[in-house]
Amino acid sequence: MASSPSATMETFRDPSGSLRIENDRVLRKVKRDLAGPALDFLRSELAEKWVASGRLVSTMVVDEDSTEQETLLEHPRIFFTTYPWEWTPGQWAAAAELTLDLCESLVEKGLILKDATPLNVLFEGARPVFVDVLSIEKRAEESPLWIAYGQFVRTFLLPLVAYKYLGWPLSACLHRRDGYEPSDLYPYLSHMQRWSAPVRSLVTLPYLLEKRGSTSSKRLGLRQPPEVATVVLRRNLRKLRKVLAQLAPAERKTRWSDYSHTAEHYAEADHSQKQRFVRRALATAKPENVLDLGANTGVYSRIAASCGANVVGWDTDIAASEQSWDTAMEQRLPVLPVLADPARPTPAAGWRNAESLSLLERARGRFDCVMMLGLIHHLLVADQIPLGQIAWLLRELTTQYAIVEWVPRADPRFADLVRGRDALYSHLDEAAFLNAIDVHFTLVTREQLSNGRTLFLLKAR
Amino acid sequence: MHTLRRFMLLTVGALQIFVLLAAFARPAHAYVDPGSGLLIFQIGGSMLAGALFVLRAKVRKLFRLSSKPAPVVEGNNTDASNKVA
Repeated sequence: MASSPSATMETFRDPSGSLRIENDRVLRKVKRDLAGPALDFLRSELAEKWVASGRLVSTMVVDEDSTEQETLLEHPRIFFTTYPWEWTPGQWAAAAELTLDLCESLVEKGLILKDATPLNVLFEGARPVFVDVLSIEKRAEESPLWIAYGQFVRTFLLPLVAYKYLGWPLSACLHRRDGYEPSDLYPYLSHMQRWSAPVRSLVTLPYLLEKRGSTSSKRLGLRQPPEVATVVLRRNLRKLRKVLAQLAPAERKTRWSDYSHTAEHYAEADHSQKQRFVRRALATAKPENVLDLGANTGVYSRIAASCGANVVGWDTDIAASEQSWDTAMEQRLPVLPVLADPARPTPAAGWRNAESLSLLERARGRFDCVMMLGLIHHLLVADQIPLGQIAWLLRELTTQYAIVEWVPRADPRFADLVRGRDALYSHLDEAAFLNAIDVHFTLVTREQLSNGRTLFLLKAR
Repeated sequence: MHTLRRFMLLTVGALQIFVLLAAFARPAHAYVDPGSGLLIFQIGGSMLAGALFVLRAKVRKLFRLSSKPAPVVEGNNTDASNKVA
């Protein structure tokens, strides 16, 4: 990954510095005249506290005097970069909350965040981590305004409004780097929705004010006595927090009260047999980093984590991924659920298609074990991917091991997907699977479950 | 009770809208600066909050003045009555 040209592309949007990944090192060049307050903050007790709690990326000064004007900083590499368009609503809200928490802490010290976008947050395991240290600047003490208020609303809150009230997927933000404007949402909201809280203050009033007031925003500002300005700024941040709480997904209990746990087709005995096999396979493979394809609610991601691995799980189901994330957060597990489809992986995006890397480019070479349990029949039938291609992808995604569940044609879930087109898939059997796999892997162990499914531990050739 | 609460919320909402629209009434132009609505809204909210904060501080100060320790108040009153007399 580090050797590919796009992976080493330097960021360029912030005039006060840039960041690049070089041979697995994350290096940040900082212009001292523009980033003085941020550098001072990084040496402060508050920064230390935030880093110790794991909510702010740690920073090391590599070279104070690399040039006369620049300082070179280094951050530890976050294991797997995810982009906001791959987050569950809960992850989205957690990233927003982290941003508000940091901003409130900074205000206490006479500092503030100059920008507020989900792109400033990454996930280390299940936990959100604020990574853009150059967003920190000195606050004008007479201003009660948060200069990043609009950006926070556009990039964090309005996508949540669109998701909650209009059903627009958060993943659509792949195409909306700066989120939504109030005018983007206003026409699609019903009259009732427009005047209900919190839509009223996020969409309707700003939209109407924008239509009425044409004074350029550059000329607008507000000055108050410092003690008043600080109180008002804190109140503005509290208001945003309240709005966020209204938009964040409901408590897990509510969401999952009616959720029928998947794998009803699995008898309890098959379940435990499958879990025993996966535990044994993981004990043999001893992976450091596991990729769980089709992770669902994260049962096997958590098993891998309990075996000492750092786990990333891909799934397309929002509710299942959300449950996996909730559980990982609650149990403080190194499990990162990502809303991603192995059959249609997230593309590269941004300037020259190189600002945000594609899902596969981020994954390549990062995992020493990939698990594909209860997924292969979806890829074969629903996505119509040939066996050879699936074997190839598995090999691309793991440096060493793969744990795969083969689902036979007679399986009720396979039959559900085939919907009577049996002849088309008559060639798909275990022998064909082994044949395709043999090109890239050797078979380590195999076990057939009593429901007819077969589990394999494979080692890359 | 629920209806009353709803009514009060609606009234407060309507008042909020009226105050903000009135405070920022300007002639309309063809060009609308994207994002300015959120800024204007933040400024409006901050102005109101600032005004409320100052007002509350003044009211508190007033109450504090009116509940000063007894001897001082008595002394003042005596002076005042003397002056009047």
